[in-house]
Amino acid sequence: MLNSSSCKHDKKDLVFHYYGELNQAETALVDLRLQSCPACEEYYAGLVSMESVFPRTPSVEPDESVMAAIRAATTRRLREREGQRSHGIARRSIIWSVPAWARVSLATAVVVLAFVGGRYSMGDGAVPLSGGNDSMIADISNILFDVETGEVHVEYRSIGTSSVRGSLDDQNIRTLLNHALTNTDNPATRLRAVKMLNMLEPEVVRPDNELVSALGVIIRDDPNDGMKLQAISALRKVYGGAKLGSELRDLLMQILDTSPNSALRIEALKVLTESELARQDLTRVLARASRDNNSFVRFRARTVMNDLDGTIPLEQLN
Amino acid sequence: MLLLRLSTLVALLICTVAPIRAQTISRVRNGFEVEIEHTFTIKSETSTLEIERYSGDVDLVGGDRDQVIVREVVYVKARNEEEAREKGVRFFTEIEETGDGIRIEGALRYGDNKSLYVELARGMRVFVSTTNGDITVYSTDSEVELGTGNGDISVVRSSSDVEVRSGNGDIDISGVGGTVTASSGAGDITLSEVDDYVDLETGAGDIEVVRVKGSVKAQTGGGDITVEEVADQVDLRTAGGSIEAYRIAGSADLRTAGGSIDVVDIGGNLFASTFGGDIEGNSVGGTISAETLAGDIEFFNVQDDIVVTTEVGDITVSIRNSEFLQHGFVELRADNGDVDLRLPRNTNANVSIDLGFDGEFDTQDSPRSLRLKEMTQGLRRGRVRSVKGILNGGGGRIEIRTGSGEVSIDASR
Repeated sequence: MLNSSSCKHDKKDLVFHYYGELNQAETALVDLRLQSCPACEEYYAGLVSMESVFPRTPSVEPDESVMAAIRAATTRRLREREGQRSHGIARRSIIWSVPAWARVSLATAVVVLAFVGGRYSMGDGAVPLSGGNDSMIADISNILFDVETGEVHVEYRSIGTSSVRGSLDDQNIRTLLNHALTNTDNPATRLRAVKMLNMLEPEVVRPDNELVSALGVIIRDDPNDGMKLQAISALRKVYGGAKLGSELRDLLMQILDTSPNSALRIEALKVLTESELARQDLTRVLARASRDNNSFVRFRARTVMNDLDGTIPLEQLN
Repeated sequence: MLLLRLSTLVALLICTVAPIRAQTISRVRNGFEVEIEHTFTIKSETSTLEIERYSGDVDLVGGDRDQVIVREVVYVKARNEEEAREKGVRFFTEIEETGDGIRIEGALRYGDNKSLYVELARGMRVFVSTTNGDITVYSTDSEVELGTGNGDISVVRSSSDVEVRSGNGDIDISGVGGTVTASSGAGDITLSEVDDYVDLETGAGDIEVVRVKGSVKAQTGGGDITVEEVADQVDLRTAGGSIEAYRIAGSADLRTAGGSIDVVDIGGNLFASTFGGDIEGNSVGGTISAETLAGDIEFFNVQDDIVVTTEVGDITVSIRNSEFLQHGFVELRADNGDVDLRLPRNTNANVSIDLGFDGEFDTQDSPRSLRLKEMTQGLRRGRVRSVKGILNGGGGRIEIRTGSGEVSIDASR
């Protein structure tokens, strides 16, 4: 199952609108969107409802004692949450199933955390690291891959900045990478995670359903075609030629059918033809690819057909 | 029986056109190889070899005499040498002397297993078209035009123009004194040592080019392109793959629908565009324009105006000599990512930084950081959202934008 996110609009515009920081034209655009997008409307309503709960007051810079109290409170809240959450997909479904006002509260909490961490990061909130490490992830700040040792180095922020180093077999590393991939509000973090996966050699990577699922979300939901492309390339590294889930398979087929970007279609076809597909599915893939307007895609389809010993006559595909 | 007689008659007629000089037979596998050799004297200084519809490998070797030697080897299944010779005569290809050279026309027969070797006369032009099989050409001194429906093509040393087409195979060309035009439906193209312009296209393969004195235009439907040491401009495009360009004297126009772009030592202007992938460069002498939807952008030793954009990814730009910034400009935009600009301490420029919704400007007072003079900050809800200032006395324009990353301006090493 892939994660779900029905609205892809940038919520920051709504925040700017709420605080009256957009110009006239931008305000008009957001007004239009609020009329047509229920998710945005709901989000905005949450912002408005916050006004009644927490009336706006002049901006003040808290002194160090207040900041220390905030840090302590945030740490306590995050640790309380630790026992309530699993990671990955389930985590997001919990967040999006709560009422709008609660989401805004959560966002507020994380924004507070951002002040502490020194950088804005809304994301999905904190994620517990396994293996007895009780650190909580609020934001992934950097991901590095050592090509010589094969180790991954991940810097993350919880209360302050921490880092872990280990191989991709390390559950902590996988948890952090999964968090980085599904952190919907920080595309740069997603890119770093995807690029790191792209540097791996496929034969040394153990197939990982969580990472595959997280990449699937990017492929499906990310508005940036470049990110989709990087995610599909990374998918080839982490799925290990295993059987693709039906949802991911259909998603890649859809890209093959409809994407105007040839590079996306090429990568999608590579994944599909390298994975374990049912014969009828592979036939469908090859039939579509053999009619593609890109020569590489057509050639690849015919090459795979040849590898099948010609058991699917070309005439049947055209 | 009647058919056999007819075939023998046709073979005899062919022999009258192309007299057999030598015929040898050798046993191989489950049959025989029958070899026949013809020698022709060419009087014209601008003679032509035409090979049409041949099915089999073709090897051509340049010569400096006024003679053409054609040697064909046919594999036949036969019980004995006599039967092999009889079959071989039937399978040999028709060879005809024309007004200005030699014409060899194959027949579209299935089951033939043959190959052709031709030693060319001095200055002989070559036009070859085969349905199947590889074509190899060595050391020619005149125009070469080759085409095969399904096979590899190799050209080694030609002092004149070369034009090749393969429906499905790889193309390998080296040492050409003229222009090169090469296309393959689905094969790799490898090229080196060419004295004039190059135009390459493959439907699905990689392209590698080394040492070209003219311009290079290369395009692939899905593969990587690597170009090195070009004395003129390059125009490289791939519908899905990476591009590498090193030591290009002229400008470079590099576009990929998805893949990374790496350049080093570009003498002229650079335009680099990818939908998804990193762009990295070192020592670009002209202006730089680079854009990616998702990927990091890094340029070192920048020497002229630069405009780079990434929607997602970090930007690093290092300038050693910033004289161009007296009147030039640097525009760096990372919608989601960090921007790191490194400049000489004596840079004169007006700096404008837009920090979008969540960007930050690194004002840490480290030994390497460059301080902006006359700095003004634009605030929004108590947070710095824009910064303006000048470096030294001011001058050219530096514009930086990030939506959610850190901006730093440091002294270059």
